[in-house]
Amino acid sequence: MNLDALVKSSGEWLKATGPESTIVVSTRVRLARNLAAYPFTSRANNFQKGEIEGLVCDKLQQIVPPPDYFPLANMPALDRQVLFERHLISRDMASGDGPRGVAFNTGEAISLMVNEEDHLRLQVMRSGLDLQGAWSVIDDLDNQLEGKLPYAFSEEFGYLTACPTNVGTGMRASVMLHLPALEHTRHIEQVYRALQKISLEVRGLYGEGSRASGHFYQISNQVTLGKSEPTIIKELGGVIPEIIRYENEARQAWLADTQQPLKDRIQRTRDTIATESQMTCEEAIECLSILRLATAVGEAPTLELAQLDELFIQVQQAHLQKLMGGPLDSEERNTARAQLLRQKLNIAAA
Amino acid sequence: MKCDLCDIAPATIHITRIVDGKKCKSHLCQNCAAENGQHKTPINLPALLQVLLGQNDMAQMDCPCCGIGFMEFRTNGRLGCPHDYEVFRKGLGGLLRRLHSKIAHKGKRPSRPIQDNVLSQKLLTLRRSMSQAVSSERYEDAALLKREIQQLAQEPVSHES
Repeated sequence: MNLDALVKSSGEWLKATGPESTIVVSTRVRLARNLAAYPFTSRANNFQKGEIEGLVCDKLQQIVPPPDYFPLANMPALDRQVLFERHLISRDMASGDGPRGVAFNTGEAISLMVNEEDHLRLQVMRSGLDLQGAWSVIDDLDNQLEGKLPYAFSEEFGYLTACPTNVGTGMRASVMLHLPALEHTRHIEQVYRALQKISLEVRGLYGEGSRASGHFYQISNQVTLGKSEPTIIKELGGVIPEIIRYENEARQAWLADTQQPLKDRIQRTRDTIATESQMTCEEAIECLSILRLATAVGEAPTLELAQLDELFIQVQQAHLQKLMGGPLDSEERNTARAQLLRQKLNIAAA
Repeated sequence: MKCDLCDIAPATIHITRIVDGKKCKSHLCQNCAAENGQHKTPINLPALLQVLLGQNDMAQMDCPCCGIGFMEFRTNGRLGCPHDYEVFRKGLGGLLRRLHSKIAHKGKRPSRPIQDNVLSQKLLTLRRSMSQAVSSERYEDAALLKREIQQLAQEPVSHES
């Protein structure tokens, strides 16, 4: 698999083919696992990390189908940034050092980080709302690996992890939602508070520590100990349809609003793309977010959700530089980004 | 515990420093700490809370397998090895209850045999000794430890005791 070719399209989980794709972009389930006889990654030296990497890579070749492994230690920073922008590795992993890497399959639905905060971070991504499907795939992957790798496990505490926030199931199930209308009506704060009360966490587009850019919110379980995986999936899965309902109602209300009509906002967004010769990543994401909403409510018949979701990744700096064939400074990136949007969205420059 | 400097007053300020990769601990009373400029050290909030919570004994505890101290964990939020859950059991209980409400695992468990705890702990300890031998350039010792680790790691897994 070639990283240069990868940037030209998005992972299969970003194709807007799953249930509730107009609001739910994707579903992700990850499991944290560690090897019993090694110190956790933050305490391991490079020799030990190298041993862990070798051991895991060897066993990965035995799973069906075997994913491709990309070591990060000597990978150029731009390529590591590409993997981060595609949600295949964490920010810490992109900027870290020492033996570490990521394995993933064609389509990027399954990925596996080696020597992240935990020795292993298994991740399954699905398009739309599909918690059960994601859990089923990751459970199978975990079952295949557990017979080959001696996991750190205690009958009392479950799967032992570097951070006690993940111990037990080691599972974080999350759903990425596009909630521009709830943000517009300022009801998002109420949703946020209600979710916190039932021990669910709300994060931005890139998980922990990131803010809700482009009106994207990741909702995930906080509790990993004392509940089974199916219970966690069921509890999270029970809440999401309610949020979808609120967002749909807010979208209809915004469409009917004569004071601040949604149609005006969509037209202003199109005008911005047509007229701006430069665009920051944040500005591009804001424009794409409004066009995603327009497409979802039937106000942009020439656009498709999958095309927009792919652009959310491609307007980011590492993808943009790869697509343009080389390093660009900030000003060049902003110019290239504005041109890319016009070209891909078929909007003529004004 | 008495102050390291005056050996009279009780030590209420506990300082851990990493100097050239080695951990140095000092325990000082209020007066000696002030005289030696240690009063300027930022307050170690986790350590202070630990004392207030009556878990001062935990503050002195280190894991025999990976060497991490409980206070180092409280400061960084990351444990050093899987065995820490056992070593720091008393200190972790309250934290796990606050994080998860319950502290007994209810999820899946590996269907295959789990590596024996004693064997895992021995391997962890040997790996730490090997790392220390390499750091202090005792390469012959490191080679012997490496061989011992390789032999032990080959042992078949058995059910957790």
